[in-house]
Amino acid sequence: MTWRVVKLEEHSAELNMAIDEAVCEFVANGKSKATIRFYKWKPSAVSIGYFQSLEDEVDVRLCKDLGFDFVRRRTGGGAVYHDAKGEITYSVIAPEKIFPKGITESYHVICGWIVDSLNELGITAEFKPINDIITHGKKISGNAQTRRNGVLLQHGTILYDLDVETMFRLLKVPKEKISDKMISDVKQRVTSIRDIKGDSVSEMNVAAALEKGFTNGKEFEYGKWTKEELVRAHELVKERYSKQEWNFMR
Amino acid sequence: MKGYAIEKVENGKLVKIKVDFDERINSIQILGDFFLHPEESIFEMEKQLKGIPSSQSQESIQLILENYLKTSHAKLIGMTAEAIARTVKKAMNEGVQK
Repeated sequence: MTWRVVKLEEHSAELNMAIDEAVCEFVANGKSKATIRFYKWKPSAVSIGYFQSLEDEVDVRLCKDLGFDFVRRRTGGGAVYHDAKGEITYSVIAPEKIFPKGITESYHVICGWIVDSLNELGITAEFKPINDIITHGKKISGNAQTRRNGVLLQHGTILYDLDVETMFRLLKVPKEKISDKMISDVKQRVTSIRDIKGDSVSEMNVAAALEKGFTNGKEFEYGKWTKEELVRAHELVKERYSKQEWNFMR
Repeated sequence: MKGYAIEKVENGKLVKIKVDFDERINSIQILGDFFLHPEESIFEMEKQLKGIPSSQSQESIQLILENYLKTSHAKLIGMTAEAIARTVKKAMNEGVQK
């Protein structure tokens, strides 16, 4: 099986999520190859899990004031702050039959590719069920998976340069809980590539390491989106990801 | 009356219940950062609890949810029917917002 790899690109939150869904459809009907994509969010954005309430989780007004995007994902999991300069996101979209049937086992396989990528950068890391990757006891990557029509979608984020203060301003934690103590507590539990490696690792280094870790031992070719995929993605932006009915559904 | 409760499952995820009820549950939302495959099953799970007597025990709420998950082949990850049922009862018993 030959994979398509789409190199690091950047899009709005709604288009990023729409591309994932559009490509799932095209992989499901056999019109697109299994795909690995790397992307950033421009502007910065917050994504929330399928089962979350946007207004409960996110300071929507602040998000708008800062010019940031917000979007509901098709996957479960928690709210994520996608800093335009502080993380790289990936998606793996492929027939589910090539992965273990068990959810945790399949997380383990794909998260293993992230662990390999971090190893490339000299960072030792491990998969921590259900959906995290940790290094020296701190979270460096969060992941989420869904399966539909025989296709597995797993997307996740690799923290490159963590801005805890902005994250806390955007994600709604009761105001009385936002103390210096809590921010430093999160810093104890979450880390980033820059926290570990300092300025010696550039974003390009991270992107290259991810490509290597994800493609190791696979047949693959670099590719772009087809016209049909992009047309469908833009339809999905209009139909779903830009809609109040979707983003404020719960 | 409206009720609200939250629980973090040990080694798992968080569930938040928002419920509107009197003698029966009028409406309910099961929110959180857990996983459920397929995702749309959440609406059916909520529908299963709508209209049941508010006095229903935690165990019978759990049974309703477990039966639904079993027959629909939906799968909760990082969450259990037991934790959801416990949080539903907590929302109606201790989490009433006046």
